[in-house]
Amino acid sequence: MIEIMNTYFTEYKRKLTDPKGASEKIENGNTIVHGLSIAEPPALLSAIADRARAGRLRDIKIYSLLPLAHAAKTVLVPDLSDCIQAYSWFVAAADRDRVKVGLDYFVPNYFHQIPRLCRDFMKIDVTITTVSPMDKSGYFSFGTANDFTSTAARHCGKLIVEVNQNMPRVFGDSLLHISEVDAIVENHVPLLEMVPPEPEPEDEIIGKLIADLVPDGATIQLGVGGIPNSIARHLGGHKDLGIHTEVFGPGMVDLIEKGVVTGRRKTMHPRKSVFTVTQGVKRTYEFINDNPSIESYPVSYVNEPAVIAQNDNMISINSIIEVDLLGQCNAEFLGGSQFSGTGGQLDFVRGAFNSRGGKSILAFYSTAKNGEISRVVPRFQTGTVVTTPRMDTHYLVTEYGVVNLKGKSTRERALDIINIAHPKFRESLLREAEDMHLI
Amino acid sequence: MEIHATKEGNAIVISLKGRLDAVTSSEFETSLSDWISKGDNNFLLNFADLEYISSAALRSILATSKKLKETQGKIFLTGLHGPVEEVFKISGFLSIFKVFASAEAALKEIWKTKQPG
Repeated sequence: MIEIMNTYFTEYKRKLTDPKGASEKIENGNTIVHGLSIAEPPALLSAIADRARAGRLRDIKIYSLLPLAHAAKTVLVPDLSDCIQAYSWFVAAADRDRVKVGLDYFVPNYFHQIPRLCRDFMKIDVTITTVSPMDKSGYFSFGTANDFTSTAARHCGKLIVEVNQNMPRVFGDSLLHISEVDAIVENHVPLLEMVPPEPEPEDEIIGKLIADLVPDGATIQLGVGGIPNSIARHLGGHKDLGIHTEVFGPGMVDLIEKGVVTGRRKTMHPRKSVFTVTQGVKRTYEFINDNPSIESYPVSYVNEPAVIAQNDNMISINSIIEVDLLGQCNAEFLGGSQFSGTGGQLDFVRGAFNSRGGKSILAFYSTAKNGEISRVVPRFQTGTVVTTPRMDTHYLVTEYGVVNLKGKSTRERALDIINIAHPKFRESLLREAEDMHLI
Repeated sequence: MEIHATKEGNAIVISLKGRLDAVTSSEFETSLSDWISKGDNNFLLNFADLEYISSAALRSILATSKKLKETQGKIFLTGLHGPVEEVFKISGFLSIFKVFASAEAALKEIWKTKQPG
């Protein structure tokens, strides 16, 4: 036993290097994938940027999904735009402007398909990500980022990990063996935190309306942000909820600790909360660390609509930017350019609807820009993309109510949608609906 | 796109008119390279008549400015306005290059560091 442990630790020591040394494994022209958001490896990203700035690395392609501060300060800085070409699977504040001016390239995708894109449609030379410390059996954990990171880690030329003792060790299919790793660096910095925003008045109303749509015993998927947090607060009186979610966030910790989430009635992974990404605060990461009730799997599993659908009474809640009078939803395009991404929205919209007793709910505020513009629009601006097609849209919720579009005619849908628009826009929307031959 | 270049002391002033995009940026890059190969290394890019600039052109300007560092040369900008200025602003490129309100002000600055000869 001791001998085996020694073997793993000997291998660990042999592969351990410093960030500069690890970055030397990257060659000109390489394609790099880095761990998602919280798993961005700051020391490795910084070493790559340093080499590029020194003129010793060029023609690099780097893939991000929801890049955060570490990527923003290193590989996404403007002065490296000539030697590092960034690609984005989901645009965030760190790369939104860069995508807008063409310095970064957006790659359309369904989140659950990215592992296959990594495996079958890309040649990844190097994957870099943050992992939890190695255990006595030689295993690290992907921690907050299983998603595509675990697949990219296993379908690349070289895998370099940044060990951080603050990265939680997570159960499920989240382990990575030392034998799979090419180089190791250590960097025990605090993990990035995504602090939930202060609730808006609309969040409380929408949170209550959505909580009323969730039956006891349901399995839920919530995003991160004002509305999901408000929903979590309003679910406080529910019983035996379960979690099968793309993103595990702070609101879910509260529900588990209060005993609202037990997972007892889950039809898939009973008594376990299943996720593929964690985004939260220190408390969230500490909660999932070594917690046998929390399991992480690749996004090709968690977000696969057919898997989601096997959870009876699956209730999926996502946000959108706007809806048109046909019921098409845009959750990713704003002001004529890519604002975010499709992410897992359609994965869960379809999976939840196909679940026995399932509901897919898309929530939004009725207006934007301090009430100046309606988020219910007659038709989308030319060039705007559709995230959820009209046939898939199920429940829509604003602070003015809830509508269920399934099985309804184009006339009924248009009228329903107008009914949850802000009252001051309803008259003009009705006229537009007439002009569009909807009513 | 039209490229008009003049030598002002130790600086080459390149005035651009039209669109500096994926189609025209190689022509622009060649023009800069020609001057660099003749030994010039301070450039003032005047965008007063430029209508549009693409990411390909931004990369090209950045790559050239790095090349110029080897000979202590630099690229300066003037005439930023409208959508061209917006692209520089949101791309973060304003933090990389020194921008002047006028060509005259820019030339004064360039001449200060190195007398025209």
